Amino acid sequence: MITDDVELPVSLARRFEAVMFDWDGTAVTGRDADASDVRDVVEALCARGVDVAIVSGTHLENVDGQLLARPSGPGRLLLALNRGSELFEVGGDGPRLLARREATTEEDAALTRAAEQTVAQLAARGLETRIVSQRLNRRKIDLIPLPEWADPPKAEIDRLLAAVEQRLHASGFANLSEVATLATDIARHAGLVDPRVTSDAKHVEIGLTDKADSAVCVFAELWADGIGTEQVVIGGDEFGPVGGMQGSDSFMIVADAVNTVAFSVGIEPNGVPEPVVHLPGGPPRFLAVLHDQLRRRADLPRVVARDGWALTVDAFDADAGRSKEALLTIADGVIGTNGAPLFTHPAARPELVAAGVYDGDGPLTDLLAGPRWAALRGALAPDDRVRRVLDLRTGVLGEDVIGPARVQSVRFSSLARPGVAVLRADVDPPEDSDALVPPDGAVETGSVDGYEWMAARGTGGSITAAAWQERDGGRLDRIAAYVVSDSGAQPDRAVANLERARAEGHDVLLAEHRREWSRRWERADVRIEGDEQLQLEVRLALFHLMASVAENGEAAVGARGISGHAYRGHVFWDADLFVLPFLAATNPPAARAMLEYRCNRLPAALATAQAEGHRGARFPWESAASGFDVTPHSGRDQSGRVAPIRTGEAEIHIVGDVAWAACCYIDWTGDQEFAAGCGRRILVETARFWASRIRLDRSGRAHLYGVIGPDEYHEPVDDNAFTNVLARWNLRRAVSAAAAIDDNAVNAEELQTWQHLADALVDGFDPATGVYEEFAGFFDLEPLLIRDVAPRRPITADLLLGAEKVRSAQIVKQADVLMLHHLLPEEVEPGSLAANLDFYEPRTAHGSSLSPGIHAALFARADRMDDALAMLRITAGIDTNDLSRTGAGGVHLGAMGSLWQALAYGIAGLRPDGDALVVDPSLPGAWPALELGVEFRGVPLHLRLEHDAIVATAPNPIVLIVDGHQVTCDADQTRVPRANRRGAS
Amino acid sequence: MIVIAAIDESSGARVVLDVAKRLAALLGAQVEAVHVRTKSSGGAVAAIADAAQVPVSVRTGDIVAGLGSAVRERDAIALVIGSRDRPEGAAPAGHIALDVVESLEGTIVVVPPDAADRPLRRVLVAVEGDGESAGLRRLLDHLGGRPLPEVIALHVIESAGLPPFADSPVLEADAFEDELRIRVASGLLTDPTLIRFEMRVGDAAESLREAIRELDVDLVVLAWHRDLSAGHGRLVREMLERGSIPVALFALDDAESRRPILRA
Repeated sequence: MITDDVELPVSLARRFEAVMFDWDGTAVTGRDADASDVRDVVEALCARGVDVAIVSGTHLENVDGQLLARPSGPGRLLLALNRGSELFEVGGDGPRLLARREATTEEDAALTRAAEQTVAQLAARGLETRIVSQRLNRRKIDLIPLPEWADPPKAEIDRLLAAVEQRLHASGFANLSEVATLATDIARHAGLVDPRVTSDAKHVEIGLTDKADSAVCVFAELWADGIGTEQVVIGGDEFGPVGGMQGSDSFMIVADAVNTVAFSVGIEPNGVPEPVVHLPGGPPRFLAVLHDQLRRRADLPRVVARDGWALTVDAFDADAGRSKEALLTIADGVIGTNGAPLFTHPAARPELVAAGVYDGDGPLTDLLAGPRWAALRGALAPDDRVRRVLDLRTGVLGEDVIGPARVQSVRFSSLARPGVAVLRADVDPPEDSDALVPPDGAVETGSVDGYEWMAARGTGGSITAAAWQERDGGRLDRIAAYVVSDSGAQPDRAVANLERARAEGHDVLLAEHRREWSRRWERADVRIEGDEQLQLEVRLALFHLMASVAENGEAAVGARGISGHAYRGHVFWDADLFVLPFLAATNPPAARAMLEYRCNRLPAALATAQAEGHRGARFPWESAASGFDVTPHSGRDQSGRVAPIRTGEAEIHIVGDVAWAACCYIDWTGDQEFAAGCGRRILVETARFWASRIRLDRSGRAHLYGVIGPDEYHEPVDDNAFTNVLARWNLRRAVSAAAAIDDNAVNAEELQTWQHLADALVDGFDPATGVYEEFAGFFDLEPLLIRDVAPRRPITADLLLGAEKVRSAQIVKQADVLMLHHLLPEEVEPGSLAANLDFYEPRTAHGSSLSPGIHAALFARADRMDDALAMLRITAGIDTNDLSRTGAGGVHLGAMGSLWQALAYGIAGLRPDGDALVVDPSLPGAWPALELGVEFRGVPLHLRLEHDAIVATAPNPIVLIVDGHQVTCDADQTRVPRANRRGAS
Repeated sequence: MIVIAAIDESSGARVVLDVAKRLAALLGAQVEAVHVRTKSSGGAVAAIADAAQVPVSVRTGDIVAGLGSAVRERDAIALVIGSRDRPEGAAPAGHIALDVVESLEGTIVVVPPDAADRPLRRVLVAVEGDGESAGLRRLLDHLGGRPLPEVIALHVIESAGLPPFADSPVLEADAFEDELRIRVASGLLTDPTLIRFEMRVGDAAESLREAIRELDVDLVVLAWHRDLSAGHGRLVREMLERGSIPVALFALDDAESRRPILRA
């Protein structure tokens, strides 16, 4: 009998995202009971996106045979059976084994010995018992093998316990616990390292696993779906102690189950432990709780401010508001919606942009603003309390407002369906906002099949949104579907996407979105032990890196991603050198999409080179829709002065940067199709550009005149070391790539020329000092150490001292020579890092947000951990502390990428080397361990780096190079001890 | 609404009256002149005021106290006073002007004796940039619903306030300015773009003086804490001593900054 209006205590009377429960006695009265009611509600819950996990000591046939549920998702049905030894997932086709704990032969024998010796020792004390089953990984001993107690119902547990204890007392045992202790000791003596001894009053079981193992597995699966422990409710019937032993269901409340809510529908003769809620009533009561959860799908989901996973912004700060809005941006790779409050405020700047959709021409080309979906009618009052929480794990933004109007809301931009955005809000008093708010400027509007649509159209494409919303009192449900196009409005496509999304409904959209975010995190998360603040900031960086880049098609990644308008959304080297490596190593399709953007603009690069009188491909310093340069030629600086901008004409290292990005992707992924296709074209055409741009002097030495290196304080210069060595590498790599495929695309003479020019290029290296000269004449400049003259660093030295002063001095904006040591360590003189780090870092103002992250990586490689950590923290705080004071224009995506590189390339010492991955970590002393996930050559790899060991976990064989030795990780987990930390290289 | 012009018998009195009349026109106010008689002063002030067609009242006693009484009694919106009596070049502001600006509440416009007689068409407000501008707030408050003159908000970034990062200062200037505009003016104007923003890097006083010249400004607005003791009010002191155009000083009032104002 189902009680529809069940009275529930406060802790249970809320929406959970997963239910984990015991089977026998909790969900059903016994093995023969009809479980159809349970089946119905379980399937209904799964259909609404709830994950359901059944934890039982029994085996698959017993549970699945009785339940017979065949859910089709998106919620998952998990069966954690055989008391922690097996985990199944049940889908439409039935159960599928996910994991099984396989006992070794020795463990199996030890289990049998332990059970037999326990029975023998009990017999010696006059207690007749019997081994009744030898199941997977456990042995079951019947303490009361009497016909009248052959199959006692759960409802008679009181009587059963009394009868068992009477027998135990007669043999001199105080209670069940004493027998369990005896069995545990015997099991250990029998050779089991960590025996699990449990009892259901009638039996004592000796096993390798117990329900705690089940719970751990289930929680891990739920976490992989984006469901944290605080979103899980646990049901059982035996949480309280029985005969002095811990109730079997209490094992499900494992140590990591922080803030989990649990309830018992059992008799619980000895009460229940905190924090379990006792709801006696057996399976009918349990079923009522499940039905209550089904009804609560209409509730707002909770957005949890979980430690290390949530960015919380309390109050709306009119001064810092815009940078917070950028930090709270939710994006799906296609559209980015900043986290401005839903209500209007004069100091708020709500905004939606789409990756690669521009408006305007030439340098004025800017990201097109699209119709907004995340808005409510109403204005924030001065004393309103506003709280926004961005759950990084699931990409869900919660916003609550308490004031004259009260709002509770949850919104997300679906990573599972890029372009679909979802808002659910409770608003008191109810409001009547339109589903879409037009951006400034003209929009097209219309209706298709009863759905309103709105489109913004720019010179480079359009953003079309169709939206649906429904109100029920103060409840608002809104879904918007966006289609971006390089042509005009796309209302039919937008409406079709909207209809599909609407058919799924809020809960399904949420579940698939949450799972997709979790999937990304499972591959890419970085775990820093011992530094909570840095941990959160690193995750925030990874969140934006992942959210900003689509996995399909082409991805134009602007300097601020899709979180704001700064730099007009133009694509700089930030994308190729700073963002792409993270994606190449964690999400190859996204990196491939970034390269597709460059591939599609190869014709423009070829045309540009030709127009400039060169050959090959000349990629633009600033790129937007067309692929032709959109760098402005002048601008006003913060001093109000108009200054010429020469980067567009002279910062040609972008050509090599694109080539490097292509190779970075190839090196991490081994994608031969790309390597032989667009990757090779990029390498060949960029090499052709360098070959035509290089000039030979009378002595035969090769030069690149009139360039700007990463150190933009000095412009233009001759023979910038970074540009020259990058070009040299580009030429050599192109020779290799061209030679690898004999298709006559490049003739032997041209290859020879490239090789010759590469060998002839000057690089400014001074063997006497081991230092590269940043450009010709740099050493002759005033030897001013910015470290000594600036009040602090990082500092915008050009603003502090004036452009002329920095130009005439050895003041460096950002890693330039040192960028070579980071990007191309194999192209610089071996052992030259330390000398160049010592020389250049004190001369570096770090006025670019791209500088400290690279220095953190280099300091780590040089084992200067204090310096590395200092740089790491500066990098991590660039956006969270709005250090540039232009955070309103979006997050610094390149700096975020450099943060990952500092951890992965610097501290972890990762670097692809052919078919192997070099792992050469050196950890800060305060960090017990650093964990990070990457994908190398198609194999997901999780690394746990400790001071004295590397622990690698991979599903397939993968070759690592550790301390110069190849290590093949061919099992699930490989531990490689390390004796020595590396020194500077 | 009354603007009080504090005059004496010096040649600067005519300039003070001119500026007071320009200011009154801007604010929609009437000008009244006040002269606080001292032992040496004679009857020339009446002629000066008559020439300017401004009524004048004469008081006796302490000058600062007398001017304060006049402002309170007439509920004046502003007091206009000369910075010094001699027009020749840059010279320290007179002690009376300094006493007045430090002692009296409300808006005080200090006029250098060599200030040109020209309409107050372009007003420069020095803004801090880390929040709403008190000077801009008070200016808008004074103007009420009257037409805005051309208002330029100037933010000077001194070395201690330089941002650590500017990936490309030239390319970031727009974003920097947008952010500044929102912080400074979004709570005051429904369309903050009505205010022109200018930025400078360097010493505040020097940059302000240069900006005044470059931008051809008619009136400078500074908000301050009425404190000229050592280490305080440097910008105000320098503008009073070396400025060549009228300076409106808005004494900061904590309570005032909390009053909502949003001008369409």
